[in-house]
Amino acid sequence: MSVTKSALKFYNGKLSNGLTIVGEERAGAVSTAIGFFVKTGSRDESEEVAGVSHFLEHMMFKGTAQRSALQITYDLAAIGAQANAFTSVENTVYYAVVLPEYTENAFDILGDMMRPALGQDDFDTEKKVILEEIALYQDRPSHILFEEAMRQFYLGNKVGASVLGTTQSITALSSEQMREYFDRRYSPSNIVLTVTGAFEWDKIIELAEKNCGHWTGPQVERVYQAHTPAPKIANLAKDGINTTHLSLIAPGPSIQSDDRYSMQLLSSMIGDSSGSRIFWSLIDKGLCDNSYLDVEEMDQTGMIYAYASCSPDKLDEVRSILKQILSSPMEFSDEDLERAKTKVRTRLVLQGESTMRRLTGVGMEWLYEGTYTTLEEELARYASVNRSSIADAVSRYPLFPLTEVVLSPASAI
Amino acid sequence: MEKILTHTLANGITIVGEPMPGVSSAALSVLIPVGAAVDPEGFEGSANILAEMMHRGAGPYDNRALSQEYEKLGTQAGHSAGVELSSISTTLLGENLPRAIELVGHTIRRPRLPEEELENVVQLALQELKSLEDEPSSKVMVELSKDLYAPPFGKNSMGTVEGLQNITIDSIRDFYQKQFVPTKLMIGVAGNFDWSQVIQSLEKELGDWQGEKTLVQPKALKKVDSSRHLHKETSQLQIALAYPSVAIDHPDYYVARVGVGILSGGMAGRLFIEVREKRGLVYRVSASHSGSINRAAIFCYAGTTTERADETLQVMVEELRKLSKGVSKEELQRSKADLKSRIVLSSESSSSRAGSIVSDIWNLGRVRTLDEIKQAIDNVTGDHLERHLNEYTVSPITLMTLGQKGLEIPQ
Repeated sequence: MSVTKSALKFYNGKLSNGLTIVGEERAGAVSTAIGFFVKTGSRDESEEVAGVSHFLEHMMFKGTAQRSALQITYDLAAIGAQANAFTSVENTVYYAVVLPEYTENAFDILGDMMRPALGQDDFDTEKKVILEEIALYQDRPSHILFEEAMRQFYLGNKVGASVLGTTQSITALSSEQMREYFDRRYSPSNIVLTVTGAFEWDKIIELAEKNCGHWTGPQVERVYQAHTPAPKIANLAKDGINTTHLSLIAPGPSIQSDDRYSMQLLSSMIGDSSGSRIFWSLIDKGLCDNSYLDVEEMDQTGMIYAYASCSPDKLDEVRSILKQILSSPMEFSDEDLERAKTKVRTRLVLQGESTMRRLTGVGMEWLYEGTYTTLEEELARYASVNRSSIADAVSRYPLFPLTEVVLSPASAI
Repeated sequence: MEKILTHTLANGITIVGEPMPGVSSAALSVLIPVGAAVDPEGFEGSANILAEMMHRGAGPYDNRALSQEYEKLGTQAGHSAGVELSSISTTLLGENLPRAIELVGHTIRRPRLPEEELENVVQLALQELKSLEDEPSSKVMVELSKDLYAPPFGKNSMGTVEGLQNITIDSIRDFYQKQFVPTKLMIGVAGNFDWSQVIQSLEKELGDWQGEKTLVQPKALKKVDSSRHLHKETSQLQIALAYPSVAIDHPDYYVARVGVGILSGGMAGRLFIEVREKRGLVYRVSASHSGSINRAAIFCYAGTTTERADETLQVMVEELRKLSKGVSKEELQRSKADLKSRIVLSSESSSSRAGSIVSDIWNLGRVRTLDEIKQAIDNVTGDHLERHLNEYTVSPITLMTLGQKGLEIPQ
């Protein structure tokens, strides 16, 4: 049975400068999503320029040879583009969702933006915004915990680097350093242009050639550092907070690993926000207001991240229940597995109905693997998961945590 | 263009449907006029607790079985209680909708409200209240609402520590009996469904349900400026303010929306440009319009480090007041394009459509078509906007700050 009612059609191509273009057309879509997926993030930064990927993402909206920052903003708004960008540990994505009749304008603006001016005045003003963003996250305990947990788990490895950088690294960063980073990383061969929804493929190729064909840049490589995490426990304290936050991390499958289908279904049974073992043991019982298990697949690495927030006096109980669940991953019934598969099916159907969600799905897959998987194939891979494939995956990726980080209210210690 | 189907059950329950060709999913959205506004005095948080308790077993199913029955259908489900309304929503494959309606029927009509679950549910709610203290940007909005709205509409829908602690299984069962009646209950369905089957299922589940109640009407917002500060050792100061505007049933509704769009329509809004882009004072600054009937308001938010807070508020309020001095043709065009595009783009999602049509029925007694909305936005001119903004000025302002220092409303 088909996942979506509307036919999906896939295309791909490459410009002579190395820019890859992929597209998934959906009959009946009322919108077009366009995204530039750049394979660069905080793991590709040296320590002196920590946070440059994310700061640069902001600067891309700050003007080009043709447009001032205001002009970019006004031009995007004039066509009602829902445009934004995000930066992670390993990629930076710029996108716009528009009504199909504005596709050409959107290409003109986004294509221009991708070759930024990086002017000094804009750089200085935007630096203040970045420092405010860092301050904002310093008021969010779950974020402080996540950053520290990543740092501890990936000690000595760039994958554990903070996406935002620090107040010190951002303050010290110069626009010359940013320019150097841009020239090195924003090479056309390191970018995948993705289009989903309503479009004509020939027109897309023509627009890509016109707006991006002149881009140049060097060959880009990502350096992969071997990672062997060692057991580690860290306790942090923060003033003025009321809740204790706990994270437990174990190594997980990478995005390239075939184990990820088994692990995703297992993680849904163990740690989904509803109906999972964690839900029944911690949230339903009123011990935690939030707790989940997440399998984070990354480029050639991955982690299994368990999180809980609770009242400080409940920490010991919550931690021991979580560890007990993580040490017995195979305790599920065939019905549990069936329900997890049904959940995935709904998720994939809804993904197929959203131009923006497909943009991320199609673009990310091509960026990492250079492949395209139809929703049907994706569903078939989940359908083929069974008890023994999960047991195999668990033998390679035991869930029992190596890294444990706790953030408590200072008053509770 | 889209087709809106309507049906009313004998007991007054209204059902609206929007078929969406080309999608396999279907979404169901139920609105029930039960919220913190009707929490009994001393039992604040009752609506919140009830919403959760209703999902802990209903009809033939105990807590775990009910959850598993929903999950077998692959639903993405949610339920919540706000100040005025509770909502139950679910999105799933269209073929599973009839069964989902059966389960929702059990939940609404025959919740078990099991005594042994109450303690857990209350603990969870208390923990959520504690966590709110660690989320300053949410906390400041909750506090602002307390000052802005006339009681009981300013209540925190999560409840209070004392109220939650007073709740007993008898108080919750009694609250359910009084509040859960067919009066003004509304249901929206969008996506891939068979209308006659939907009507049949809902008729079967809810058709013989009887009962009535009087609804609490919100009172108008107060007429004077006010400001309040809550001290907290945070790195940023949270600034939130609000002032009255027009509701969704007012002829000027889209005029007001276009105006707010000029202030804060994505990245091209004046607030974003003046406060963040030109001065780098904040990471987040925004204005938004809330069109709830009888208590419509414009809300503004900014978070900034303490030493830059005075300037931030000064610039924000200046921009709010300056809007009535006129806007450019381009600003008007951009704000309209942004609003229209958001509305069209969200029309692709079945859950977003189900939510929109049911909220229209609740607010207006009818569903506006996308064309009608687009037309209303197109009709807004600079003259309308100027007239509107001179009538609905930035006054009175309710200001709330949270962090290391309080601020005065700029004159």
